[in-house]
Amino acid sequence: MIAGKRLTAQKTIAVIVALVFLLVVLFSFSFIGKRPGAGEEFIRQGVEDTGAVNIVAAIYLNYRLFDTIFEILVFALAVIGVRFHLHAVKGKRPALKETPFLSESNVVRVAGDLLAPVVALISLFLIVTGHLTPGGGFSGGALLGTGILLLAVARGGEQVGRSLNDNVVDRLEQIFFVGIIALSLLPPLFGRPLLANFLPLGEPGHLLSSGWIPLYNLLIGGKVFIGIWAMIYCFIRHRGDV
Amino acid sequence: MEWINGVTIGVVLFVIGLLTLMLRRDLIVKLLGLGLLNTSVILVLISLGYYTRGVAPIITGKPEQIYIDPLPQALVLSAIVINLAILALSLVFVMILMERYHTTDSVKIAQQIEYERSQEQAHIR
Amino acid sequence: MTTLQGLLLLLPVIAIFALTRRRPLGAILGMGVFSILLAGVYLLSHAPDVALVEVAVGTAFLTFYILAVRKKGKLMVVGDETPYLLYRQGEDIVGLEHEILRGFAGELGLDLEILFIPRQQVPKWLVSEDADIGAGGIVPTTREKSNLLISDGYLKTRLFHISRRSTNKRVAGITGSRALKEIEKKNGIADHHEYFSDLCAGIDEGKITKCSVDLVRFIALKRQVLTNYNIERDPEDLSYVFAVSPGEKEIYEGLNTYIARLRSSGELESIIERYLK
Repeated sequence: MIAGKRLTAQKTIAVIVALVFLLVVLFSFSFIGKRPGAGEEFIRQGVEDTGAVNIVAAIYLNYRLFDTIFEILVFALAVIGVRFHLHAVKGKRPALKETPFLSESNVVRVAGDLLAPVVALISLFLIVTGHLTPGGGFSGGALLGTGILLLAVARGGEQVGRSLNDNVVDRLEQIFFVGIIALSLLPPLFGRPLLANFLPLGEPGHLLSSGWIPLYNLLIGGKVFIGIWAMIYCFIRHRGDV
Repeated sequence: MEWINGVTIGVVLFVIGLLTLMLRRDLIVKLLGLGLLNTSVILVLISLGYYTRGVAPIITGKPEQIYIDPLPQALVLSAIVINLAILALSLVFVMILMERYHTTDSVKIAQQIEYERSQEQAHIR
Repeated sequence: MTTLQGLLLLLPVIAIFALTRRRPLGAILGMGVFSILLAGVYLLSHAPDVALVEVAVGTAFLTFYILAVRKKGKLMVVGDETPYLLYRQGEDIVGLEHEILRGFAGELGLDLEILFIPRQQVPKWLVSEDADIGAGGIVPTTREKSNLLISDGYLKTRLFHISRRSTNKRVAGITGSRALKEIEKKNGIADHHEYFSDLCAGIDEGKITKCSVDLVRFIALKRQVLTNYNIERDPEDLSYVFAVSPGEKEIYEGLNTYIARLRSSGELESIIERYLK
């Protein structure tokens, strides 16, 4: 009985604290004026500086590329952590069954087979045109990674895992990560400061323009795709099947 | 109706996430609440740059066109990615607990740890 | 009110709806819906880049969570460690109940998974559907009879009240058990011992003057020192049962037919003989 009372008291305190927080923050936000306008400079100078029409991509992959590289590092560390710890969990990890979990449903099978190429195409489009339209490496790569899951649902985790197994995943992850780091270290060779674009800017709005932003989009897209698939494959294997 | 904007709704979502973290006992739901905290901050940042008459910051070359502030959007992309990284990793830790204690209820896990400790002491005795 | 404002107002509603679900799976699916709505909000706020990332990340998350939460092919059994019925022998778990449950799980094509928890916790685990079957020498109390599905008995039992003359009165029992309820009815408030081992230690040291236990625990106690104690048999006939989670009607019916078949084929007799005689 006493424990129960203490618990209700704790809950009441929690709710009161949260409500006070709500009021204080709402009150302080009411002083913030509209349009901070810190990004005016980027809008005016962005296209001229980077050659990218999509200013968000210009900031993300040119002005503050340093942050982006470390963000990719954090993501890579998370993937390593997930793979390491899921292997360490004892669990029952039987050999994947040959017959997929949903094999009896033809609808799922056919829909998965049909949709997977479409998803792959859309995500490749997002990756390649990241400097012209919304999209870019991260969203395209994550979409591609989850798109592979459609194939895994349609054909069973093992069949997809056979072609994208641990060795391939390791190799590709290394290639993409080293590529990203190496590309950022290249500029001094061309007489430019570190992390500054050294490729020709081209004409804004064209597919091959804005220097190395498309290149970075491709590398980050590949890295994120491999990372997401590696995590999903770990979860699938830990469970036994899709 | 001015007051219904991303900033106020973002603060409300933050409080909902906070309450979830404090009141719910299920670890998976706690993780969802943690994700909601992150999301609410992102929503506030995006809404601070929002401007009714502007358009998305993709330069079309038309003169006198007003664009949305692109800076918060570019900053927020990193926050979303790091959110994904943190939550995926902590989900794995929850799975490790689940493998051992067969539940995601934090209170039950605490009781279970206590029980195991007492059993060990009984064996020593 | 614009479309953006309408969507914004929907966000907290869906978040509250999702995060108050009792089962994690419902919460996960609710937050999936929330993520897609949020992408719509970003799109209307002229942030298409963020909207695309949100859609991609939301989908990836939904997959992670569902793959992490959905369990497949396990029969989850919880119960207190009980002599003869369900106990540890080195690394393995053995006992009479284990034998029955292993056969039953094999028949269903599931893996048997046993977790030892205090007796008092068993109903909570069953009601919250964290576990399917409660075991460990359960003699159900009246409250449990109404809350849980109680299978047919597989073994007859009886309560034993043991007592001893002493100046200091200390009455004890295992928390949550029927035996404790009985002794409390007779003697007023009793000491709660969560574990059988604590009870044994208390009797060993002679601290406990009165206590009630059921048949198998009594037999286990008798192997220890019980010289100074008076033993009194409770006249009421009871039997050991399995408690089944209220959501699992099929497991409940399957278990009953399985026990009936074991009894009619005489196999139950031989198992009981092996462990208790």
